[in-house]
Amino acid sequence: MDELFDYFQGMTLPAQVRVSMACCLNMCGAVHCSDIALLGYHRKPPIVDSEVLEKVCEIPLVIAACPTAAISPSKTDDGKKTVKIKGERCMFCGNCYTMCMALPLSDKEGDCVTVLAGGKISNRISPPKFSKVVIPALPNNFPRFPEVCESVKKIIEAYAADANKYERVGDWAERIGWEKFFEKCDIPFTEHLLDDYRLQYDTYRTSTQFKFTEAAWDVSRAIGGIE
Amino acid sequence: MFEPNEEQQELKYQELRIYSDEELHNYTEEELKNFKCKHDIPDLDELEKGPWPSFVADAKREALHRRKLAQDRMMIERDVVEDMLGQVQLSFDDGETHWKHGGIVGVFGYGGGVIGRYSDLQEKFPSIAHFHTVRINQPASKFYNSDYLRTVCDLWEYRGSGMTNMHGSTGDIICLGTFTEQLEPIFYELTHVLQQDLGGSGSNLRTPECCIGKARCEYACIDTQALCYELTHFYQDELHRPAFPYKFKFKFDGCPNGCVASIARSDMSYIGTWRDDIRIDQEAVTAYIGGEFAPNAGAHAGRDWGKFDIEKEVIGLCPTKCMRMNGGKLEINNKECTRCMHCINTMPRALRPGTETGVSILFGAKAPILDGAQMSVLTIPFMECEHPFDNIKEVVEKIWEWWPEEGKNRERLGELIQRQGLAKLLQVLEIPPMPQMVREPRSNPYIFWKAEDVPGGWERDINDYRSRHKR
Amino acid sequence: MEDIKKAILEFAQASKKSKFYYNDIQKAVQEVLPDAKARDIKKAATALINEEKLIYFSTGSSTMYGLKGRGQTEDH
Repeated sequence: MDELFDYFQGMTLPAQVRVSMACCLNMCGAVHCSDIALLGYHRKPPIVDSEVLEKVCEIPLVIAACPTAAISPSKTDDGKKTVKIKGERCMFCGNCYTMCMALPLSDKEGDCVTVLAGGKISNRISPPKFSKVVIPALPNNFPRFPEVCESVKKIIEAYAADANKYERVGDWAERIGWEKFFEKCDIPFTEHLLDDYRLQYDTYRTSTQFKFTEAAWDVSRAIGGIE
Repeated sequence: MFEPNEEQQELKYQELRIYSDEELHNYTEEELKNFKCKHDIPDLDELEKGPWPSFVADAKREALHRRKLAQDRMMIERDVVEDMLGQVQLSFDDGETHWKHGGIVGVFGYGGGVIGRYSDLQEKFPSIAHFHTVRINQPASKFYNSDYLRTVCDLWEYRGSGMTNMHGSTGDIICLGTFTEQLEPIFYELTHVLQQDLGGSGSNLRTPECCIGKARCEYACIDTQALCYELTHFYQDELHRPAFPYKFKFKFDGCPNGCVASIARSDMSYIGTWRDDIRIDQEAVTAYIGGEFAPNAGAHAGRDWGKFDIEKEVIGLCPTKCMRMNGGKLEINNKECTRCMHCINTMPRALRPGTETGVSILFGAKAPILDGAQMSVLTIPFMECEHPFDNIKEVVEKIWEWWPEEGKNRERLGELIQRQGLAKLLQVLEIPPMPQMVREPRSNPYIFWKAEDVPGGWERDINDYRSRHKR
Repeated sequence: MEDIKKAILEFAQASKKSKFYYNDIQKAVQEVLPDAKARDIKKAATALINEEKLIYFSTGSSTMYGLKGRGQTEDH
């Protein structure tokens, strides 16, 4: 908020910009429908504290808590009941930790900030929409999170310069196309931004309507379509 | 005229106060400047710089205030704030939180309202060994008088850390940090003396929340405060004694602008709307065109966007293109209007929602845990919304007969709707389907026909079939 | 009411688990007492809480019921 202070004081933006933050996926409040949303996220699967797990947790509940069925029952060498976790199936939601304190996830390098953009609540002009992930992970650099601040500023400045009056961040991105959003905000589009969750098809573009940006030429070059 | 559901006594701070004026103002600005936290907190000191008001500055004030209070004037340790700051600094150093996993706390006989919080470094930070959060059910639209706020603050200074969060994302007043043995006395004081209820947590009805509504907003189509108040009282038992598969949220928006985000975060979203025509004051329209009134109440004043252009800024942006200027007068084809609020927001002195108002009800919003975020689906287009809201309570009860019965453990209503289908929700509510419930019709023909849908049912005789078709 | 309370306690004591979802309690009671209404089962559970035979267990986001004195229920 220090970095964006001038925007709070003035009324220079094309429309209201709601910046919200949630420290975990539980997202108290409506973070997932904000113009810009900052979300704390884990990137390492839980550590299994087998020493106490069978005492402090209900193992069937823990297994049932996993949305991707990555957790299965197991036994330690000395015969204690515990669980094992298939790391490649983990989507780091932390639901198992909610059910069982013996499965902590937090980690200095693993934990990160995910930046989402373009959501809204209001029905004004266009219907409410979800925020979209635009930067998969930025480091947790305490106390001032310089990388996060810089990225948010880049988005807001690009938006302020280019959007029409009354146009929210998401409406702007949709009008110019998300490819232009990434170009104008100078944000790389990485493989992590391709949806790999089970609802992924909803986000695929099944049309020849697109705009040429450097990211498009990169693909053409890579496949040998152009020099 | 508002009538409280139970007799309400007037709180007088002068009678309820715990601290004297001298105790409340017990340090000088000079002392504050020289204040040093008992732990080294360089990263938090850094956060005090910069123009935005810092929580660190507030916490230091509170820490100094407690340092100068007599220890017998506080029921938990005086340095609770300093230990909290120390632990936050350590969390910054380690990049990992030092709060333990929740665990049980609660007040006797209640299943909600208190969230357990324990430090995992109790030797280093003994004063925050327990640091429980107490949620207090905020009044509708969060109006208070200072007698109330000062009384709550005194109580929290005496029995808690003195730190609050006004308000949590859920809407409640959040009191941050106290020990388990303080919970019962806090609860007694809040309920018996202040006539104040705890908020929701866990698998129960969460604290209902509404926008500012008719109290301060010309857009409000329904009395969100009355509805919030009535349902909070009527369903109080569901707030206190969890018997649901998971949490359940009511949020009340007065109009489609959606200031409390009901559509994005409540299992049952109430959004005010109208079914007649937008009211037009043609003189005021002319005044907007002439530049006498700033559009959107001056929200674009910080930049030169050029002269207000009603064609471009209102008529052209209307999603249904149902407006036009005709001989200097604004015309709206209300039959085509989807009530998006843009024209009303832009020219509030000229346009107002209609007068036949009611509520649209949508179901099933939730945050991403677990199966991805969902927004509420429009299910009931319009319903009259007048005290005592019996028609709305009937809808609530239909839902609460279905979801607790059919919902799996930790399954939100929105997930149940997805699992059993929107058609099932309609059966539960005993309403017919309408195209307004979908963005577009389905594109796959994999319809789960039932035997009773098909003439003659599914029972067939293979011999009869073979009498016409050879093997 | 008393028979519902008895059914709840019998279910809780017979189970190997220390914490139960309300739903599972309700299902178990209705197996023994098919006519028991959801609302009465909830009332009975509340009464058992008040009698300190059952306790609430909360993770903050979801709440379960537990048998007093069994499993890890008080915090560390």
